[in-house]
Amino acid sequence: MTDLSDSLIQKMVSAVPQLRALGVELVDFGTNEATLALPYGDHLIGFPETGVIAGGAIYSLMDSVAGMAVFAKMRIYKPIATLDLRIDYMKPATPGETVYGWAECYKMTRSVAFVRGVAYHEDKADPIANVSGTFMLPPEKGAQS
Amino acid sequence: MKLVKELVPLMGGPDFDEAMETMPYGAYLGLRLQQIDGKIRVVMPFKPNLIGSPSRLHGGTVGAMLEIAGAVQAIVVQKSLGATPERFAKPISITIDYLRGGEMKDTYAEAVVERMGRRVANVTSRAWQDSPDRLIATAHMHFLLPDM
Repeated sequence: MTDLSDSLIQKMVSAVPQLRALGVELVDFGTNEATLALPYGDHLIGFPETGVIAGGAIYSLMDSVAGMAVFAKMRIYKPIATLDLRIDYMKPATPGETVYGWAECYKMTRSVAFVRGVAYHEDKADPIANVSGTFMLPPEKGAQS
Repeated sequence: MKLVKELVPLMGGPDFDEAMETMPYGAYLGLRLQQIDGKIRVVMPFKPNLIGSPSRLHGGTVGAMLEIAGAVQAIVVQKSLGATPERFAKPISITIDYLRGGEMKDTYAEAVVERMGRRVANVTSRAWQDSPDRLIATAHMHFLLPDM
């Protein structure tokens, strides 16, 4: 197991091929929360008639930041597995603008981490999408399973 | 780039096998649409930039694929009801259950429109790699239908 320094977190984000391909950048990494940025790009478009990016691109961003929030809470890198993730799309992202994804791990038991977050442009109170998810944590060493 | 209304007449043919050009993000993921046993199947051929954790597909790409499978199937059902959809329905919500890690292999997804309402479609979809009996993820979602 590895303690998470800021530089390691930065490396983790830039080492994930899908995040690199999407152009996702690390914005913030706290004690139980994380923020990623998804810059606008033509390859993300889901609705060509308006230039609005695909729900799937927002989904990918929020799946990533939800996992990052769990790492923030654990403070160490251990493999985690997404159990489920739900996204509600409140409004289309504005074409041309960066989408930020923020998530916090608001509860962690020995086995399960609970995460919530939002996608937004400038104001978390005016979200593009809401996310909630659960993650399975690996068994503790020596713990009864 | 192909428009949804150009894609719709092609669907239903037994040899239907199209690179997904109607949605730039779908094209970016490298998705293909095929007609198998009367249903539309979405294929995501493996490529390295789909990876998330080491040697595993990024959960977000599988999620995006499941959502796109649902959006395409909604178009198929609208067509079968005599409509001529001109764009994809907007997703309202999607919930994904991850059942197994995605391996560095091609991934397949199919969707079922459980109910096509006037304003909302309720859709489920499932993704697998080796066999449809070994699902890697399932999803259920709601789409807001365009006014027709």
